[in-house]
Amino acid sequence: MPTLLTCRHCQASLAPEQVAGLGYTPCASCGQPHRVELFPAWEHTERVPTEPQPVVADEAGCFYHGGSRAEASCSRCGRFLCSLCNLPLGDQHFCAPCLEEGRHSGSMPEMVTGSTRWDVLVLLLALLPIVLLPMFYFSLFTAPLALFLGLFFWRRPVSLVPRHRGLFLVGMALALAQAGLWAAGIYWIIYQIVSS
Amino acid sequence: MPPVATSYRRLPGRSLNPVTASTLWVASDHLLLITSPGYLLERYRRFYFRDIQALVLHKTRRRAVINMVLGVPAAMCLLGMLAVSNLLAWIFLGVPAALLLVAASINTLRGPACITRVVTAHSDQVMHALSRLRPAEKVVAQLQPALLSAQHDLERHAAESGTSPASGPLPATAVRPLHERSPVLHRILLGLLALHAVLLAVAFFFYGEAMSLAENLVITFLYPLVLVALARQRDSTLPRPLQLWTWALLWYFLVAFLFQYAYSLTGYFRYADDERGQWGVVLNMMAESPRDSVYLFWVYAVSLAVSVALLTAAVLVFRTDDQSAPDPLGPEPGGEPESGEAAAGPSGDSE
Repeated sequence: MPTLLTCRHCQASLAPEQVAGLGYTPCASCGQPHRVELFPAWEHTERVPTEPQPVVADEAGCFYHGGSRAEASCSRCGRFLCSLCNLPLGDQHFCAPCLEEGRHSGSMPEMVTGSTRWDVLVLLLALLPIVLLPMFYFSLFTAPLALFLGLFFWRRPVSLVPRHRGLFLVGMALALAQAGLWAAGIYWIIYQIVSS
Repeated sequence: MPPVATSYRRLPGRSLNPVTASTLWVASDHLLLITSPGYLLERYRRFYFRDIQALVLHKTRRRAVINMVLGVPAAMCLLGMLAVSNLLAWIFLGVPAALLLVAASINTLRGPACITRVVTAHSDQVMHALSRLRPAEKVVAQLQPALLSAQHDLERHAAESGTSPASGPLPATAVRPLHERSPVLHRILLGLLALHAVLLAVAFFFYGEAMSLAENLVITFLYPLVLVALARQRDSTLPRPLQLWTWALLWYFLVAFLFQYAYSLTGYFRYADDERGQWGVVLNMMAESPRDSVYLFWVYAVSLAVSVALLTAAVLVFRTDDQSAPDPLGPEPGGEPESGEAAAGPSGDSE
């Protein structure tokens, strides 16, 4: 059963098969133009795993279910998997333990669902005391923290997708300047006290 | 920390939402949607090429709406600049006007707006990164070959089983039923708008408390009537131009209200020293003629022009509709004459 597509404007159902590939066509209900591009998966909504087949003659069997015929091997550990144990992820196949392990350890990029932008945090820590000028004394704490975070996370990937480290550099440079100003100020105060 | 193993390529498009950024990336076998709530975190969502069933683009009027939202305050600021001669006030009004106009220009240059959806068997995700038609079209053009290539075995299977996306069984098209509505309310609106236009025109020559009261009385009826008309015309058989006309009327009223409201606020400063207090301010403002102030003059002149344009448009719509309405007594081509109710098609209206 194909998915029911509805118009975003009036929520009326579209007839995707009738308008697919025709360019922009008005919605039958509200007249708002839309363009639908359908792909072969449209007709294949039911992805029920097939029943595992029993091993015949000298066929390879599943690592977990010895009596079932192997259909794929795990891309991570190489174990043979039957149709029940095979967990496809894109073009790859995994067994449940490998998938779980990959999810927990974070070693599988395919399983990563989120990350923290440490470079943005470093920049914010360095920028906020400047932007909120009356709070400049905060930089006594935020500048060293920004420097620490910048150095600590420098070698780690910034994001799942390729991103440059420009924000890290700018944030650390600002934090360094603030720390330098504080150091000079403290030195000057100590010097004044000592010299008086 | 995410390990970087898959090579991603950035796709065109970006959402300019100040709270949540959204970008779209493509890998060899999937599409990656990155949403960054607060810009400090990144949330990843993958759409594998084999699972994508449809890409849907809906054209929207968001660009015009944003331009309106930015343009009206900008116009108010510019008109305010005409009304004052103080340098400080000029700067105070000019800077926001310039910023708003720049924002409106960027919005215009980004091209027409749209909503892009990626549909899989279990999800229907709106791609906020593809909110403009130009990048959305580019992305669809780039993805199409990759998706077809990833699903080529499904295509073969479909061909073998005699079904294809173009010839499959149609899902039940649950188009919402259209209600038969009479355009009486729209005609009343037209009449009141004409009366309002006459009052606006007269105001240039004669103005006072009585005129102001009459104008406000007409507006008091007009505003709620527009809302009722909008509610009634939803899912109705009323012609689309008439429905658009009602929306245009609502926008006109909203904009006019904003301009009048902005002017009335200044009244509290201009008549602050009136001994009668707030009542005195109201009376003074009611007695003001469009010829007393440049701002008011332009507000009245533009209001009158828009009213006349809307009146003309409505008259044309009604005339076209009257001419195109099928004659319920006339013979139906290729069949027996039907009853008046049945003869009124989905686009016709029953008067």
